[in-house]
Amino acid sequence: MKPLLTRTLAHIAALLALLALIPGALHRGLVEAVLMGPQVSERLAETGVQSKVTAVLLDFRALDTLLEVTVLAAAAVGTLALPPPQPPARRMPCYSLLPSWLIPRLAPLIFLLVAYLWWAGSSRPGGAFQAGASLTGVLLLLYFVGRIGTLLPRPGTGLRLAVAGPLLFLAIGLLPLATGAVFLDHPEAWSKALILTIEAGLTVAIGGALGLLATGGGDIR
Amino acid sequence: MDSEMIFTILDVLLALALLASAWLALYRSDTSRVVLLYFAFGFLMTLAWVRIGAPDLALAEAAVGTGVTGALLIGLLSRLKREHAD
Repeated sequence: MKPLLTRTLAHIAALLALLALIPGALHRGLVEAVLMGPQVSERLAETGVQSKVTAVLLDFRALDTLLEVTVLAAAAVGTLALPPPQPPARRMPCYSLLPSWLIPRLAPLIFLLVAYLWWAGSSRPGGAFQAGASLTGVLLLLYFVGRIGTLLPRPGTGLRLAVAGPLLFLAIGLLPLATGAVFLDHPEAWSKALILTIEAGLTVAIGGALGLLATGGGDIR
Repeated sequence: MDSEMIFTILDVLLALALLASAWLALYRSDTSRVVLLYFAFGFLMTLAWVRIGAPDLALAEAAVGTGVTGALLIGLLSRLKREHAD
């Protein structure tokens, strides 16, 4: 196919996708009805969390989330096949003194934000993916301004974290089998604590995996 | 002018700015500008998700879409420049 034709088709597809968003933007109620079916609201109490999105991700469709983070862990393992990043990455070119002054002072707040996003996931927008990505983000910022020498403390840390998170998720998912319940069906009384534990594990796992992917395998030094 | 109308006008402006930044990020040839435009696009997209009433998506867009991907692009940019200089 000619590049021009391919490009034109891509534009038309993008335009159609955009047009499809317009009804959603105009009628917020419609989005609510489609995305958050009344079924979720009805059975929200069983999950121990108040956020519908977290309830879906970590309870109703926990298997999908487990597979999703397993894919991320597999991608992290895949970076082992890459040659180590070379030549050793150097600091970002610094055009201004402001970032190197501001970022170390903002970093504690961003770490606090990571913890908040993890905790908020149980009752309002937030959760492991956002917290984990923010964790990678603050580490990258600190690295760029030269406040930390390496993104991750030791070679292999990112990989271990990336694999440990899904394993923790899997282990907690297997527990209900001992009591005769179904795989990934957390007992109601413990649901919130278990979901928060899984989310904590996933936060560092996603932080580690994204950090590893951002460095192109291995740890930047 | 009531607030409803002001918000509608802002929404339309946001949609236009989103299209413009996406277009420029795709078709400009200087890579540093393109990365900056990508950041602008990510920021506008985050605002758009908030306006549509999807704060979860807005957070994911800000953290994963703009934050980590943007950092990756900046790393790539510096590597390209270094290799170009060598």
